Amino acid sequence: MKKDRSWLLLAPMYAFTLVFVLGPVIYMAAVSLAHHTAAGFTWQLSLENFRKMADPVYLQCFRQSLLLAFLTTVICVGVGYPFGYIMARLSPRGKRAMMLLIMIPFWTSSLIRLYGWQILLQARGPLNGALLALGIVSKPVKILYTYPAVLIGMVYALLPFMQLAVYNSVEKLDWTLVEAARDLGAGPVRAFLTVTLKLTLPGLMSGVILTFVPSMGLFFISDLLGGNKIVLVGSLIQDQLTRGSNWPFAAALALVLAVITTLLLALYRRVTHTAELEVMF
Amino acid sequence: MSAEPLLELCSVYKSYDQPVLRGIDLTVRAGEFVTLLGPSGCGKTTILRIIAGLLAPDRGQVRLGGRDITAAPPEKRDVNTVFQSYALFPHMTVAQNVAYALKLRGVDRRQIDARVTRMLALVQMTGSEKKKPDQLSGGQRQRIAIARALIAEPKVLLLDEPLGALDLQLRRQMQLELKKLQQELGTSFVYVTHDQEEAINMSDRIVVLRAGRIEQQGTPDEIYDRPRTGYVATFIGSANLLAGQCDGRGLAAHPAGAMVCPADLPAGPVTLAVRGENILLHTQAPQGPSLAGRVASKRFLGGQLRVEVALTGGDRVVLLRQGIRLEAETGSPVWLSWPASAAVAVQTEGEAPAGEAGR
Repeated sequence: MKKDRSWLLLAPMYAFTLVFVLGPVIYMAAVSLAHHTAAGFTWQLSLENFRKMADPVYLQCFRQSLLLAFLTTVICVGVGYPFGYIMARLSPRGKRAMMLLIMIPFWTSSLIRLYGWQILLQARGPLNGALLALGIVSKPVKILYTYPAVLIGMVYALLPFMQLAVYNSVEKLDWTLVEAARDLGAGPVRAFLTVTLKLTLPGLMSGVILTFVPSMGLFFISDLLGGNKIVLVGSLIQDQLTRGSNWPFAAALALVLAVITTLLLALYRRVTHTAELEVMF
Repeated sequence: MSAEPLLELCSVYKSYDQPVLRGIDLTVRAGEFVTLLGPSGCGKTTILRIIAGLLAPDRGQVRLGGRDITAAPPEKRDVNTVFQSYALFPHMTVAQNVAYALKLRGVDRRQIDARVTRMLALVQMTGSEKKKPDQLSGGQRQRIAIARALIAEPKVLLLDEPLGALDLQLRRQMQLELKKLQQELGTSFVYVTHDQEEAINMSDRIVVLRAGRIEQQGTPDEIYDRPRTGYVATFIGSANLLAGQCDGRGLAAHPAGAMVCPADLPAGPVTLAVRGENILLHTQAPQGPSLAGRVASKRFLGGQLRVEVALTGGDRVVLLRQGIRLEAETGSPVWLSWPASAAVAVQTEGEAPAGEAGR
């Protein structure tokens, strides 16, 4: 038998991953242990950056980020799963049309789309106008620069990833299996829970990762729609990197954020028994 | 086998873009093995799906044990299906797959375990409980699919070309096993296939379908010996069809000579179905009526010699013989004859089958 040399083909990819993915992470971890000075930082081992995080101000910041990411993900699952499921059951034409509708917003910068949300949500904006005209509210409600506004923005930005992940997974489902479940005595709900949902969990898992992970780090949405009142870890890191020019503290924050995210995803996988991820696109 | 009808289909119609079923009347008795036989597109799988409740008929009625179940959802019917693709749940073990129907019915765990063990023993898959479907071979998956469908003891088991994906040897073995299983359990089987060999070997009754209608139904012997139409005669065991002019006294004129036909056949145009294995080949003109022609080709296939004879006037006849030797060379003149019992008068393609209600 000939020696298997297929790894040679993969070697460039491994090299790339090592240098450009693992490299920066190691660098970041190293910087997080460095000492902050007025001029930048010195390579002097210290845990001051991690100790600093125990401050209630920063803990609150982490709590807020986690809660927002959690709520965003839950809403994305609640809206995205039914959407992806229904989309996968459309005719080929309907699928193409839906796909186009999901993709079109991506042709514009997300920053510009968020400015669009600012206009929609402001006190004299179209949303309040509609609510007033319908008599649902008697005077304009403050939506912009509140927590719900940030949540709306987050869901808006991340929902497509959930929709497409679920769509992909449901699309590949063998519907004979659902028929078999019905044939063996399962009602529509039981068949969905025991077969459809179980077999599309890997897709849902990809969707959860694609929404939860970014929502832990996204900072410009809370900046643009939440004013300065809601400070997320993402905003904090950005602030430390630019205005505070405290790289070691920014690195420490980013590292802790990454560890928390990884642990939560590991927990989720344990709970849902999804061993493997669905490969998308 | 009781005479009581267990499952009844009454003038069932179904159309998609085109009509698929055009008035199916079918009765299955308790303990009966009924095969729906026909080429792809004849509507046999559609019938099965309508019985299972996975498809609603446009018109007509489905009755099970005297109860109208036409509108009942699949989970409310006392029938189970063995799907063509097996449709085993990939995320469950073999034991979980087989137990599925009982678990839904809330049977307690100890009893489920006992029945799963018994079912797996019945299909000779003991010891595979913990395996996942993707660790099984095609034949093994087949057995698990059968066990899963039988565990809830349905009144009728529906099988959609269950042996289609298996190789020939395994298919023949599974034919025997399935038949044995059916006889042991006494469950009615409705079996869909396009394989005439399967149909003949396993069935109590064969229902030959053609373009959404029942062409003929009967025991394998009846279908084989007394095909009513040319379609049935050529589909089961591939008979030769020969058109001629009957004289009403047991002889029919053909461009290549004369053919023996049933003595009670009235005078007039007739199409005879004659099976290749019943035809005698002569190298010299025989005493009685015969057809003249030349040997066009000979091939040894499946343990038989298949001789094609081009008759004077253009018709072609295929005859089958045991052994490998043939006394006539390719191209040499031969004469064909058969005993009177070997020829059956059939209706041909253009004519409407007898007893058909209006279209």
